[in-house]
Amino acid sequence: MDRERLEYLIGGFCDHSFTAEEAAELNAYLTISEEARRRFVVLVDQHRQLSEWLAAGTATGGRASLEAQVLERPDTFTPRTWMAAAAVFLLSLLAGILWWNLWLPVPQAWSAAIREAQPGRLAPPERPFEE
Amino acid sequence: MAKDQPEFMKLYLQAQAPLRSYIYSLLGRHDEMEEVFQEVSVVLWEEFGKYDETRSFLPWAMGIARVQAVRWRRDRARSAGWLDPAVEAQLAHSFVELEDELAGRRLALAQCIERLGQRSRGMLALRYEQNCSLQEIASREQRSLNAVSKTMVKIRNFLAECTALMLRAEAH
Repeated sequence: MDRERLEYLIGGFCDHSFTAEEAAELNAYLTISEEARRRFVVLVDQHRQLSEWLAAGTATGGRASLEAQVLERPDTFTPRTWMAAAAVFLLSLLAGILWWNLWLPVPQAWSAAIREAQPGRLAPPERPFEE
Repeated sequence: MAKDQPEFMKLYLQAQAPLRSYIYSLLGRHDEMEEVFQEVSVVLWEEFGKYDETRSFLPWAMGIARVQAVRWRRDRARSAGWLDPAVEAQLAHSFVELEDELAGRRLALAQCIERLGQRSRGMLALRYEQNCSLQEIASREQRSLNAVSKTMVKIRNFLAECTALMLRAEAH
């Protein structure tokens, strides 16, 4: 059974957007497969409930319609967004601290060690072009 | 045996949601579902005296709903539904079998809607609150019909998976 195809066909049934051929195809799925019937029943029951609740604006206990919720509370202002922003800030802060404490001192320590070990080869000449 | 109205009301209210969904699955249209559901409700009350209370109410009511849907189609010169008669009977069985799960999903659905993103909730609002067709949504959102159709499938699947997860979480 092609589950993705089945769900597309059930969607077509719910949205009145499927052709006679697709209706026959869905019928065939429902005839042969108990799993298809189960999925159909779950999605149709959900669709019916959505239709009745949202048409009456009672999806969230009659508080407000879904559209009003969308307008009143855009996702830029959800707690999830704030948590994500806080996580990005903390990670940036941590990365900055690590960079400052670990990466920066290493080249300085290396160059100092190199100068001590091989002063003649790697230390820059003080007056390179005086001759 | 005569049965009283409170007993009927208790059983009838419990059976309402699965009956409505079953009738919708047979007819595929909400306006037709409402019409047939009203007829089924009247017949259930009229026939309640014949109901064998040692058996479950829902399968009995589903049988009446199926007969009423067939009569309704016949009265409107629609000899056949979109489903094979055998599938219509199998779906009645599935609705009865899954009713406990479906009842839990119905309770969880509102919370799952809250978990959708803004764009998805906007699409649900267009589809269900304003009863827009997919073509109208595609025009408003300036997207292709195919893209809107696929998004609606994804939204419905998300909600179905979400309600299933909430049921599982509640069970543990």
